[in-house]
Formats: sequence, C-alpha cells, structure tokens
Amino acid sequence: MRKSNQLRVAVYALIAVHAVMLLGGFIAPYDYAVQNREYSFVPPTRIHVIDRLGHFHIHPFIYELRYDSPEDIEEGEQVYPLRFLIWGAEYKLAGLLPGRIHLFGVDEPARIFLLGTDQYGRDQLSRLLRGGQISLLAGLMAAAMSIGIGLLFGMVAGYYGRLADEAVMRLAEVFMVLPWLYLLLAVKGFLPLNLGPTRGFLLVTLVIGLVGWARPARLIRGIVLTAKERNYVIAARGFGASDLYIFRRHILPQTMAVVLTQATLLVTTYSLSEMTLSFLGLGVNEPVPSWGNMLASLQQYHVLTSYWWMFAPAFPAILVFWGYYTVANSLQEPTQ
Amino acid sequence: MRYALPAAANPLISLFGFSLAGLLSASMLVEVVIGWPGVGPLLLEAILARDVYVVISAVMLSSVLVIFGNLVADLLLGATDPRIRTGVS
Amino acid sequence: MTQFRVCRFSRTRFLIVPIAASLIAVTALLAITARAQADGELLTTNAEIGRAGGGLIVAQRIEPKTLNPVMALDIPSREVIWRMMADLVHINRQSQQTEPALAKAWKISSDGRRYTLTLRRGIRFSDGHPFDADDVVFSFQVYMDAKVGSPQRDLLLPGGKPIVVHKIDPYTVEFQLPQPYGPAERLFDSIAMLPRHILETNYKEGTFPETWQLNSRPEQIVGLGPFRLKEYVPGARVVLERNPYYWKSDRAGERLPYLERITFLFVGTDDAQVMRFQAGETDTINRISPDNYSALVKSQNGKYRLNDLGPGLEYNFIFFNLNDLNQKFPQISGKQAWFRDLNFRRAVSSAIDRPGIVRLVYGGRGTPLWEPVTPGNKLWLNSAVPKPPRNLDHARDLLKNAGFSWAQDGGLLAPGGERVAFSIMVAAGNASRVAMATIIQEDLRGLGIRIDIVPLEFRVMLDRVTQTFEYEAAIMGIASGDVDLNSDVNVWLSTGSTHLWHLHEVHPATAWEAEIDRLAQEQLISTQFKERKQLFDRIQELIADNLPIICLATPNILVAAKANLGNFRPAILEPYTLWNVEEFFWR
Repeated sequence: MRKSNQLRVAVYALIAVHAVMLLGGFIAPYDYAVQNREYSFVPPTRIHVIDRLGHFHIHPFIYELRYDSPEDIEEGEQVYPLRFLIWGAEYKLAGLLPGRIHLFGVDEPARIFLLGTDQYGRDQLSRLLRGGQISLLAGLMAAAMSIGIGLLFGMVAGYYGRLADEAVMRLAEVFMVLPWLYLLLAVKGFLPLNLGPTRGFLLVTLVIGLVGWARPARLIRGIVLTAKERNYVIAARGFGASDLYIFRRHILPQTMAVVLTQATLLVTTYSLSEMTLSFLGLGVNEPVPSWGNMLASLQQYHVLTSYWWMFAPAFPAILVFWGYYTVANSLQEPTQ
Repeated sequence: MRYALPAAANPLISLFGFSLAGLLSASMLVEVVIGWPGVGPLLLEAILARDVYVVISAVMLSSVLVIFGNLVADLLLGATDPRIRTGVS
Repeated sequence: MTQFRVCRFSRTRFLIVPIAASLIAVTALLAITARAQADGELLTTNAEIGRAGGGLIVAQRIEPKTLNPVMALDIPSREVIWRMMADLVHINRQSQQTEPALAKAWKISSDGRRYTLTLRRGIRFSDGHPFDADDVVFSFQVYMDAKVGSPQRDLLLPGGKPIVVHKIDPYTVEFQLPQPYGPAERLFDSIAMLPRHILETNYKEGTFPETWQLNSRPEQIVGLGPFRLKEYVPGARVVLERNPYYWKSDRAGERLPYLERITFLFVGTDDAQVMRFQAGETDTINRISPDNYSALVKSQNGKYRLNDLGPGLEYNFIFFNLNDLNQKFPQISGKQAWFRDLNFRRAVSSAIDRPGIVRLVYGGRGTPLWEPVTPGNKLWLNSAVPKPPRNLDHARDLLKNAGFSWAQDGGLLAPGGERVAFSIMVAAGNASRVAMATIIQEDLRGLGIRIDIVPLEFRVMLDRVTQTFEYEAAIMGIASGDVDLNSDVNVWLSTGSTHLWHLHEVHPATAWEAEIDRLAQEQLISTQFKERKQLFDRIQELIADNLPIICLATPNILVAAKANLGNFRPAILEPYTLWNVEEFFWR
C-alpha cells in the first residue's frame, strides 16, 4: 500500500473508531454493568436469515437462548427478529446527552450478545464500547496533560536557558530514567483506595499524564532553543515584546509539528498504560470496563482456551494503535 | 554488512541505553502474565499490600539498573566510535 | 576301626536332625515372640487389604514453612507434618467421630473432668526409640507453654486454665480438666506426640520454636506417623519415606503403610497443578477449583477418578464494621449508623442473589448459606434456620420502615438525607471473593446503593479488620477446623479474638450477643450431646436472625486421584485426601 493510501486509510479508521466510541451508548444494546446470571460465558449470538425449516427471512433474527444447566445452554425454538432503533436502558451520549434509544436489539426476554458474555453474563459488545470510551479517553486526556506540562517546562527551559534549563532538564532526566510502569505503579500505590468511579478514573489519568511529561519537554526545549535564535524573535524582543507574546506568536507555532507527532504517539502509549493498569487490577474499578480489565480474565487458563470471544477488545485496540502510529509516521516524515 | 554495521552501531548503542527502561516495564507485564517470580510481580504485590518499603526498593533498584545501562552504553559508544573518544566535533 | 566310625557317624547323623529341628524351633519361637514384643500392640485397620510398594506424588501450591508441629499454622506445612506425626485420639475424617489412636482406650470420670488414657505398648518412634507416657507429658508441656507460643495453646486452656497432665505409669496418663468440657475428646486430635529424647534439650534451652525447620537433618525429625523425612530440596520438593516402626497394620497382619514414599512437589498455580495431574505426573489433587473440575470432567478418560464431596465446612460472608471507632474515621463512623440498623442488614441480605453466587462463582458446585454452619456438618446443622429467597420488594419495605428513601435517579437515601454508598474490602488474590463482591455490587444496585470494590492483599486486609478497623464492609471466608462449635468459638464469643465485626468488646454490645456468650459457655461445659445440640441450634438461630455476618455460600470439596489408587476415601475434613495415606496402595 502506498504511503499516502496508508495514511488515508489510517485516518479514516481512526475517525470511524472514535465516532463509534463517541456513540457508544447508542450503539450498545445493553448497559455495561447489567449481569445476566444464567448466561455466563455464552458464545456470540448467531444471526440467522434462514430458519430451521429452510425458509429465508429478509428480516434477520436470532433464537432465544434456552437455559438447561450451567453446562448446557442452547438455542431454543422461539424466533426473535432483530429490531432497530429500539427503546432500552438509559445512557449518556458522549457523557452529556441522556438518551434511551439504542441502534439495535431484540424484544424481551431474549438477549442478543454479539460478542458473547463474560463470567457474570455481561454483554461484551456493550462493555467493549464503554471500555473503548474509557481507554481512549484516558489516553487522550493524559496525552493532553502530558503535552501541556511538557510545553510549559520545555518553553521555560529553552527560552530562559542556563539555570532554568539545567533544573528542568535534570528533573526531566529523573522522570525519563525511571521505568514508566514502575513509576506508574508506585504513584498509584500511594493513593487513597476507595474513590468513586469518576474520581478514580480522573486520578488514574492524572497519574499517567504526570509520569510521562519528560520526553515531550526535551523535544520542545530543543525546538525552542533553535527558534529562540531566529531573526524575527530577536527583532520582536528588540521591539519590547513581552515574553508571553513571543511564546504565543512566534515560538508556539514552531513547536506545533513536534507537538502533533508527540501527541499521536503519546495517545497510544497512554492508552496502553491505562490498559496495563486495569489489566493488573489497579486501574478503573469494577464494574466499569476498560479494554485492560476485559482482557484480564484471559489470564485464567480455562478462559484462555475455551472462551475465544474474550479476546475481542484486543482488535479495536490494535487497529487504533496502528492508526495513530501511521499518522505519527507521516507527520514525522517531513522533519526527518 | 561490513560497512553497514559500523555506521549503524552509533545510534544502535544509544538506543540500547535508552530502551532499558522500557524493557524493564515490558518485562514486568510478561512476568505477571506467565507467572515468572521476578521483580515485576513483587512490585505488584507490594502495591496491593501497601508495602511502602518494597515499592521504594523496587523502583530504586530499577532506576539504578537503567542508569547503569546508560553508563555502559555511553562507554561502549566511546569505545566503538573514535570520534566521540577523541572529542572531534 | 571302620566299623566303629560307621557306628558313631550314623548315630550322630541320626541325632543331627532332631537336634537341628529343635534348635530351629526354639530360635523361631524366640524370634516370633521377640518380634511380637518389637511389634507392640498394633492398631488393625478395617480398610481393604493392599500390597506394598510404590510412591505417591502430591503437588503443593506453596512450600511448607516449617516441620515443627507445635508452631505450624499454614496448610502446606501441616499437610507434610501430619504424615510424620500421630496423636493420642484421632478424629476419623470420614465418620467425623473420635477413635483410638496412640491411646488404645480411655476412661472418663463421672464428673467429666478426668480422662485416663491407656497407651499402646511396645510402640516405637521412627528412629526405633520406645514411646511411653513421658513423651505424652512432655508433648503437652510444650504445647501449653506460653513461651513456646503454639497457635493451638488456646484449645488446651478451657476456661483459661491449663489441663493438668499426670503420668500414672509408663503406659497410663491422666488428664485433669479445670472444668467439664464437652468437646474434650476432640482436643487430642492434632496434638502431636513429640519425641522427648530428641526435643527435650531444645525445649529446656528455649530454642524449641526454631527446631525442626525444613532444612533440619532428617534424623532429627522423629515422629509416630506413617512416614518420616527423607530429603528436602529447596524450591523443588520434600520427600518422605516409609516409617518401618509404624503402629498400624491391616487385617492380614501386614504392617502399614503400603507406600514406600511420598513426594510433595512445589508446583505453583492451580492451573499448573491440574495440567501436571492430567499429564500423569502427580497422583492426587487435594482441592480443585470448579472451573478446572469441569475441565477435568470433560477430559475424563478412565485414568483418574474425580470426587465431588459436597459442601465442606467453609463459609463465606460479608460483614460490616461495627467497631467503636472513637472519632478515628469520621466518614466510616457516619455510615455505621446504617450498618448498626438490623433492618439495613436484613435488607442487604434479602437483596443478595445467593444461588447466582453459587452458579457464577462455584460453577454450580456449591451451596447457598444463610448461617455459618454448612450442610456438610451433618451432626450439628440446624435445618430449621429459615432460608428466604432473594426478594427486592421485601428489602425495600425493610428500608422504608427504617427511614430510608429513594432519590429521583433511584439512589438510596439514608434517614439523614445522605446518599447510601459504601466500599467492600476483599482479598485481591482470591478470585472467588472478588467475584462475590462484583455480584453483590450489582445486586445492591437494584436497591439504589452504590458499592466500590476495594481489592487489597490478604495480610493488609486482615490488618485492617483486626487492628486498624479502617474499612466499611468486607468479604471473608472461614474454614472451620472441626465440625464442633468449639473450633470456631472465638468468632461467636463477644470477647473472642476473631469476633470480626466488633473486636475488643468489654461487655457484649447487644442483648443477643450476651445470649450467645451464655449459650456458648453452657455448650462447652455440658457433656451430653443432646443438650449441646439444643444450645448450638439456638446459637445458629440467633446468628441467622441478627446477621452480624451475612453468610453467602460454601464451595463443594472437589478432589481427584488416579483410578488405580486403592483405599482413596476423601472426606470433607482437612486434609481431604491424605488423612488415611497409610492405607493407600497401588492396584
């Protein structure tokens, strides 16, 4: 695939994934915490167009699940057509607009589990969408914070030079030298234990962002050092422009290229950090899903070998990371 | 190969020094998943147990390791690249 | 000359045979009687007669910490130690009743305070040294010594006063109890008889708690059990070899054990254990998780045998922090107003889906519980205790009566107007309990209560529950050591050391706690089973009614062994599989 094609595909894929995540509450048929206790580790529901008697239905349908015993759950007799724009559980679109209409679903009491269920009978598709919101949002917010801090320190270090430069660079080195995961775990370990779900999530994001500001700071400092010596900056200073003005008007645009590249890379790294924390049990708490804690159940041998649909969160994650890396690569090309 | 390797060696060695920190983090995840009794699971358990001293020691140990790795990388760089050794700009 | 020689020769030859025969007979007779004396009075088991030979390989998840029976607290250590030790009176794990062991008979005085035990004669330790009453007196002295600090010391001090052990003659020992004690006979189980000739010096020097570690020399570890220590490879295995002086025999008179050795392998995780068993590398599994059990059932091929023994004695429960906090944690103290309300606890209990817990956490291989005595305890279970099914409406009614109300968005509001939300502390490594917490979280969401789950490492959690009291609610499990109430009495006595929800009570905090104290004391003193059962029944009723702990479920005991292992008779008392290891043989 040619580079430009790759880039286009990557951008489209990213936009698609983010759009889907944004509309997560609408697309998911169920609430992410509802447990259907008879349907533990049920495989994905099959959508049929041809019924048992061989008739073709234009309207796709599913069979209701019949529960005989924990080991024996099969498709029953009753046909339930797939319905669209159905009234269901309440959700908040993009966290702001409350809504109750879901993209698709089936009539009660049947259930449609397009990606199967987990140990507690929770619909994996709904959890995937909600988990995506959490993991991606954590990545974006942490990257924003990291870049923000990096910009601040980088500009101060690059512009004011000498003492400020030394101080900031040594501090940055401390943060760069420590293995990021160890540092993350150490900081998380000293935080209070039981915060509510939102505050817990924000704290996790804050911690991730705080740990990784050093690399963008170094790169920005480099840019600022060269930008500082440009003619127009010297001229502006000569005219008595305040530091703030120079930062805003002249230096900041110079750093944009680096900032953008760093941002795309950092989003993936921080998303992965959040997933790692949740995987280890130190991220968001139950019942809030994250791609990390959805994958954590695969550590058990019987889940790994028997319940293949639990791997589902890995694929959108891979897709998103590939998308961001490709974008980052093409952004880096001109500067190299 | 004879000519490519010396040219590639310089950034390779610097990268080695820098990547040690990342390797430690990555190895921690692998250790937890496969059950290898390394420093990674130790740190994880210490955090769940709120054992402050173990956390401090593990983080300190790993940073010393990374600093040492970077030192070795720098020395190796000096050893392999005569320009750096003699300080030619 | 020739004639003379022939005559004498034939005469001596004629006499040689009878003389040799009588010599042989006398030697044989002496040998037999000598052997009988060396044998001593053996206990004859009723098990199927097997054949000698072979070894047993058992996997352990964690390494034992010590080989000292007096100090051992953890299960892996006890598993190894008790294959090398023996006690005076033993509880048969299958019948759950006491039976003679090193003591072949005993008499109880009419006031129930004096037990006179008669020991078997001619028994030898694993190094050949004879066993007698001096060893018994010494063993009890060590167990009851406060400086040694055995975790089992409490059991030997009924009412806080020690039992007086007195040697009457080399094979008779008298035990004087300070007060009549109902479960006295069961006391003797798990008190190992120690070799005085080896340990007396250490005891007198005060180094007893450190003796008999894993790296001790095998000759030092001497006991009366079916096996003795052969070797220990750190991080790899412990190997025990057959004790030739063991005092049990089968019905054919063959001395037990049949097996030549037992190897305890340190394997690591449950999954690794199961995989090794499936590969045939180990011979028994002591405890299988429900998921692995189902997997083993599916891959059953006749090579091994799986046993679902039904409910054990473990009870899992959720409880609230009802301790006196003395202004230490104002946030928690505020919530204690809800926790102390019996209607609140009853509502929580009514909202919990216990069958769901059994289905999701134990794969259906478990039993829901409404009180701490499980159906596995056939002797003492009070089956009249009510078992109400999940009823959210009933829960809501209870809350309404207690002054709670609901906000617009469905959230529960306390009588004071604050939102009802609390955290549940669980042990991070225990997947079952974390799963129970998740299920309860969803259940209570139906009442409008928001729950946060706080996973913590086990020791830290225990610290918070017993020392700092910094928690709101917690989920724990207790595995009773014995069917008798006595083994768990410290949970129910208001002054008990494991009265988890409210420790360090100076006076019983509530009327029903005072009544439980009274009933428990009566129960301990009484020696009549019917009377004790009535008292214990009432205690169970009180617990189920007042809900100091809200019981959830108990898992079934799941074990497995190779199909050709004879005399494998697992039971629900620990150790589930190895309690009769001296009878095991390979078909």
